[in-house]
Amino acid sequence: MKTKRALVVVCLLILCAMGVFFWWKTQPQPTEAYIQLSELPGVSQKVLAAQNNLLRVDEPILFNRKTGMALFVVEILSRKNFGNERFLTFGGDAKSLQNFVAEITLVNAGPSRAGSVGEGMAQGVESLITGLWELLRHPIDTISGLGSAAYGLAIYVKDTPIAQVKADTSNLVNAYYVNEACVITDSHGADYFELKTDSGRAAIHNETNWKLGGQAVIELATFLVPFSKLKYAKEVGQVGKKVAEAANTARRLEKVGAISKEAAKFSRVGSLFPRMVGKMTDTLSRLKDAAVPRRFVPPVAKLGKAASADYKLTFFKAHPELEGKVVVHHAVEQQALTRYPGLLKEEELHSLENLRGIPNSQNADLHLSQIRKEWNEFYRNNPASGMTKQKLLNKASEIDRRYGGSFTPSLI
Amino acid sequence: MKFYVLDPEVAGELGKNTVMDNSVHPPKVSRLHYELDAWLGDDLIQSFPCYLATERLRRKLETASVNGVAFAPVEFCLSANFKERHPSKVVPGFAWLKITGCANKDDFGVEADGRLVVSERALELIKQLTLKHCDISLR
Repeated sequence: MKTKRALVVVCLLILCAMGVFFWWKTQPQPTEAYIQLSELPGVSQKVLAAQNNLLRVDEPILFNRKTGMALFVVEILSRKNFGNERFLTFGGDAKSLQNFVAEITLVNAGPSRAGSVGEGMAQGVESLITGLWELLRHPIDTISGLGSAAYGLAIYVKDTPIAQVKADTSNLVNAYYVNEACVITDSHGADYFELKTDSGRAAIHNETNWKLGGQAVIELATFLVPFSKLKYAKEVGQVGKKVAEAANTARRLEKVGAISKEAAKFSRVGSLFPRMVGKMTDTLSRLKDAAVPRRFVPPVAKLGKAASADYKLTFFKAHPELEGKVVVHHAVEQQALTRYPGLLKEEELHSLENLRGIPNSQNADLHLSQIRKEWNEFYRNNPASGMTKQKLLNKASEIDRRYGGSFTPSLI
Repeated sequence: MKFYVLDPEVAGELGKNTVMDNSVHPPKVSRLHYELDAWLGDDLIQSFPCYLATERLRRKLETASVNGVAFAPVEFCLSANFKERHPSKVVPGFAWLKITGCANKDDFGVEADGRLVVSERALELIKQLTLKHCDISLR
């Protein structure tokens, strides 16, 4: 009898413990959180080793638990190779950061490409188009390299209006070029569709151009016939579900500026380059909720002179369209008047230059709380005896750089 | 016994009626005016060098007879921004935690830079309420 009762008690205790456990597990967690780089899910040792050596990822990082995406504010520490694109903000995950570290490494491995922005691909594509066009106009000279593809090509050229051949040639060359660039980027441990800097793209395009020799034109010619068939197939679905998905995602991302036109075009001819399109699909689906990369110049906090102590009036007079949409926050906090008496004037603190808008649509409380935490640490580490106005402004600039992308108007 | 360094949520700032002696660091606050601006819901909040607890946390700590802490009144108010964003939010009363204990010895103590150190027992008590936005590290 006693044993039976004890058994019932044990069972009840187990049930209670399970209940508490499940209750605890199902408690809602806030979607957004600020985390340290080392807490980013899946972050690699390579990225952690690169932090403060190759690059500086501002911490804490805003992380969305639902999408798995973070917003990174990054400074590239090797200045000479990246010219004026040292400061970037972009969305992504641990893999994005790893790809970015690989991008910085590959740019640093070559000569400085700052300034050679964007020319590489255009030049490479142009030379390929010229080569292919020459081959189509004078097929006899190069026919031996084409082998059995020559027959199909001859029929295609004979039966297709010249304007269409020109358009096909141009589209195919672009996709072919992107595929080659993808393979090369891959070999560096980076991802072509995630390249963040013009210097990174220039490095890849330079290498791609160098690798595309005469044989590339022959290879292109053999692609032209299947490409033309693919191009005129009415249904995207005919080229496979995965490719169709990639094409749709790419179209959407192209619209918001997350990927280049070339990448979007590339997705549409995916069945010719299945490996890289598969890779692109993975990248695009991973990054579908990520913020678009942006270059920025770090903001510098300043103080002005307010005409009124009503700081909200000052802010909304300058930005009437934001009334009711943002929380107005002081860059140098109001409590600086209490903490450092005599250092600042009220009119400086409430000036437009010192006011920031934090959108209500975002989790304004989380942002404000995090900013306050940063200031709190600053007050802890800086005794009033050594405080200056410039020190306060430097801290405000640091916070503006880290969170300024979330402000409205945006500071970065 | 284990001790933990806590860096609680900063839910607001020192108000203009705060009286503090800045000639020492951490400053000595003799009158605390706290303006709540962005509260995420934790029962323990701060603004350097002061710590505050909700009334329910205060009761819990008093009932458990923790040492190293006394409670003092605070002039507590909500910022205009907070009222505008959360017009119907009920905010509990808060009490000022005056830390009197020695860090790493008593249930509540502060380090030289004003950082809060609590015993494992005190932390367990606080965690029974809401403590989601506090950075906790083992001493």
